[in-house]
Amino acid sequence: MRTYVLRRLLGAIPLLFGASLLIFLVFALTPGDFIDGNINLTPQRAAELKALYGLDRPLWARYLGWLSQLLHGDLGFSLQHQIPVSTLLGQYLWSSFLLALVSLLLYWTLSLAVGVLAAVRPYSWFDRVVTLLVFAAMSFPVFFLCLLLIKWFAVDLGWLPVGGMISIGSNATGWDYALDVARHMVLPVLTLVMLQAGGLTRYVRASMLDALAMDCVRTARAKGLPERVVILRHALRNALLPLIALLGFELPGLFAGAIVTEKIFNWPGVGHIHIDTLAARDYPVLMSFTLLLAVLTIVGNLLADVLSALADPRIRLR
Amino acid sequence: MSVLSLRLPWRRRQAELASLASAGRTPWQQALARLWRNRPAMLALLFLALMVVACVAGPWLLPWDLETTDALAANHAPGATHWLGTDFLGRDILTRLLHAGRISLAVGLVSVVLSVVLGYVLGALAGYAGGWLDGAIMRLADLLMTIPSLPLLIILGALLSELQVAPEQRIYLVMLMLSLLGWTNLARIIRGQVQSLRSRDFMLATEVLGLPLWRRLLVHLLPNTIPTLIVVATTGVAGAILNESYLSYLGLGVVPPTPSWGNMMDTANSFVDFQRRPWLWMPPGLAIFATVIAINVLGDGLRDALDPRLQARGAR
Amino acid sequence: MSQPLIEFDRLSVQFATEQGVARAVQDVSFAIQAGESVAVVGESGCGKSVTALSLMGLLPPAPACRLGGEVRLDAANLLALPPAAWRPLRGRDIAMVFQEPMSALNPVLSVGEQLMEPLLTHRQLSPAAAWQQAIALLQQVGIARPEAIAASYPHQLSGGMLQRVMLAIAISCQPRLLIADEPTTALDVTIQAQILDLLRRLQQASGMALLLITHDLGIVAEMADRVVVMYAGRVVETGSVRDIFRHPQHPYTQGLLASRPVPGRRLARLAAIPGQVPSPLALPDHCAFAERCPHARPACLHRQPVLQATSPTQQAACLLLSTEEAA
Repeated sequence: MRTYVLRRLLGAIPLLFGASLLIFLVFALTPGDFIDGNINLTPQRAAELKALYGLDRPLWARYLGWLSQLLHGDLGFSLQHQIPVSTLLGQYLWSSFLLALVSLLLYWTLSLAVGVLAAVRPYSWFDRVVTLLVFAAMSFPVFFLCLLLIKWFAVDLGWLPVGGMISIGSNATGWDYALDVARHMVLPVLTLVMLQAGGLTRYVRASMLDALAMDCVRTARAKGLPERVVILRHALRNALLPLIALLGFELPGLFAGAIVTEKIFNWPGVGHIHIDTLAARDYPVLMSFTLLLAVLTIVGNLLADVLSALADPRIRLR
Repeated sequence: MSVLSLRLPWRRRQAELASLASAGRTPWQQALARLWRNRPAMLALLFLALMVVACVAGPWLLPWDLETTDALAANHAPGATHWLGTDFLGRDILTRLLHAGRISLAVGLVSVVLSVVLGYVLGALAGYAGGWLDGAIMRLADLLMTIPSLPLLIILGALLSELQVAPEQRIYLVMLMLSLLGWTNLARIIRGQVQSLRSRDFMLATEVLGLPLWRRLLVHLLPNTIPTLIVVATTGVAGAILNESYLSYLGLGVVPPTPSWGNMMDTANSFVDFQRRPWLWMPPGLAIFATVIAINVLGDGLRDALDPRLQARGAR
Repeated sequence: MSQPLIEFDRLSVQFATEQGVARAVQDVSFAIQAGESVAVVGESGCGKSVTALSLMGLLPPAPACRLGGEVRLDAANLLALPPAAWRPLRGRDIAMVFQEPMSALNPVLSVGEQLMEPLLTHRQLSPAAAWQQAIALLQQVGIARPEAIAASYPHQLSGGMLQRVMLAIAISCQPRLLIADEPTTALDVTIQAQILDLLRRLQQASGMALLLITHDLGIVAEMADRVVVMYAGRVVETGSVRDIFRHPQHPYTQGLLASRPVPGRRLARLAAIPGQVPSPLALPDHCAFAERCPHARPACLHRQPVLQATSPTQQAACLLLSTEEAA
């Protein structure tokens, strides 16, 4: 088990370097940068600034410089916001994380419950309705869903705020503050849950159908165990194994998938920052955010491998 | 052959029985027959056919041009003359919607064809050749998969804007972008299939028979992967259409004056249009939604028809 | 004869498939007395496993699967029972051992946990008592170091070991009938003998009845008191082991016996039954064996034979027997 984890860990390291190189190249090869984009600068001043930021050095030197910065925990300096990138991301990361975590908990609960119920009675009317909803959820363009929700619930009905994280001018504290944030979260969370629950429910249902067809489930029934025990203890435990591996992919996926949602709901998160800084070509921020996603993906994969190994005795006790 | 051995999952057993009864028909004929009986999938296919016909023929039949402006008819609500209303320049929304449909469908189709060719060739190569080539291709796929596709697409879209590509050529670059990032999933699946098929007895038999390599590959090995290819490609089109719409909505994909369903929804960014003139942004949104759901339903039907053993796995 | 433990009475099982109705079991009737060993023999797909599963209530639910006739336990029709009333009988009165020990046990639960389950469910033991009992059961099926085995997971054990565990689970609640569906087919030959030996000892010790499903006539000769031969979903012959082996009446049974290698007898080649089992989707209205039967007559292609006594302990379903009688 320990060698298994170690091997995975070692495999992740080259992947991290590869990802950083890929990200660096995409940005370094993009013509135009923060300085070129600023028409107020004289050519002389622009050249000075380029030298200051090291943009005049050869490619490999810039990559190594960036890498050594990263290894020292320095993500660079935001050109647009004029603060260190780590500070900037630190400010916005937690609100993104809050949104992601709440959505994650909700749609996993929903998908597990609905997927298992649909698999237990395949081709029943319940299963058919679920399948229909799953297809609808998988086919909605995020921004269209956001816009519809805003139009109906925020504008027409006026039940919920249009966007943001707290009401404008509010200086509520304690419970009032939490309630205010919660009200602002309803629509973005609803969007993310609807988007993600579709695919996951489908996966849970398929995985559960596979598990229910296993010989050991028939054995459990032959032992005369109550159906609830057969389904929850014998089938679901097996169905969960591939799902655990999926959990590792979810967090980076949510951060990435929330970019459009955060933007439209004006949620002060990293995805929102990502799109805003794009217009200003604030490369240190963009590179850091992209790298953050890559790191989250790699760590998530690693975590998924380790978790499935822990959950599956066939890997754990090899 | 054990006809009713109850160790098999129920649907597989049904399929086995079915194959017994319909002996003499080719697998493809059986698959077509299964697809024909799948009512939702056939409805989806019908809808898609209508959509394609409408997008191709519609703009010719409608009395308006893409760029005809009419200041007097600006911002009209849907009515008898303009069925879906007009925009702020008095351009007919339905005409624009159908034109945009051509673009969005073409981007979806072409980018998937490209990514399927790329993914299929690389996947089959990795699976059959093994060794360092397999390692290299799969590490590349791993690398591309470490960065979620949407942020990467957004950055590449910004790069296109930076390069100041002309709008007409931009479409092709968007197709290329989507396909360059979209091949990894198919490559992985095909690689796995080729690897497992390779070690099966019938492939060993072709080697024992001394068949030439091209014959072993083209006649015996690769045809077995076609059903998977079709299913993955179909769902791929849905994904590509969605991705294109995200990019274009953010102004990073297909850009005006070329209309696409995504960039038509850009009008929703103006609060007045969003609030007062839903006919400007609802139709393209619904068009994307309906097309994508139809493709997904069709893809599901194809999966059931081509390989009943393949569960809804891996569709994410 | 006293009240039989189990009675199959004109049981029929049909599966609805995409291509039509598959008649897996038709008109099957036979009984099992308490403590008796009955073997059901036939080729793959002849309906023997489906017959056994109908007794356990483990067939797919309607409308995918339709049942006709009755299956009685102590004269009570099981098929009429609601699922909730049937469940407690499984594992307690009737237990079952399957063909593939590797996949029949749950890979994510330890052997001990799986062995404790029926004890906790049917005998309401405390977990501690169930654990003790589980260890005792493992000892009873001849497993050394039972504590270590109980703590291990299925993938860590060999096939023979797992089948012993399956037997331990099956006998845990002292069932009155044990169904063994090809219990040794998936095992090595040397292990097969050990498992059969164990099965026989367990049966003698507890006095339970045994319903053995197999295609292996060698096992039948060794284990069974009575034999039921099935072909294409029907019972074609039934009788005591001695009857069936000494003077088989049905041409199919004769064919089965002839296709079996007998030690010491040297033959150029084994007799094989020509042709194939008909598909359960397209069973004929006449004798299903007629096309393969070496003695078939024109009448065999027109009528369905019924079981009739050929001796006090033997019955066969063949038109040749009735025409001979009539003649």
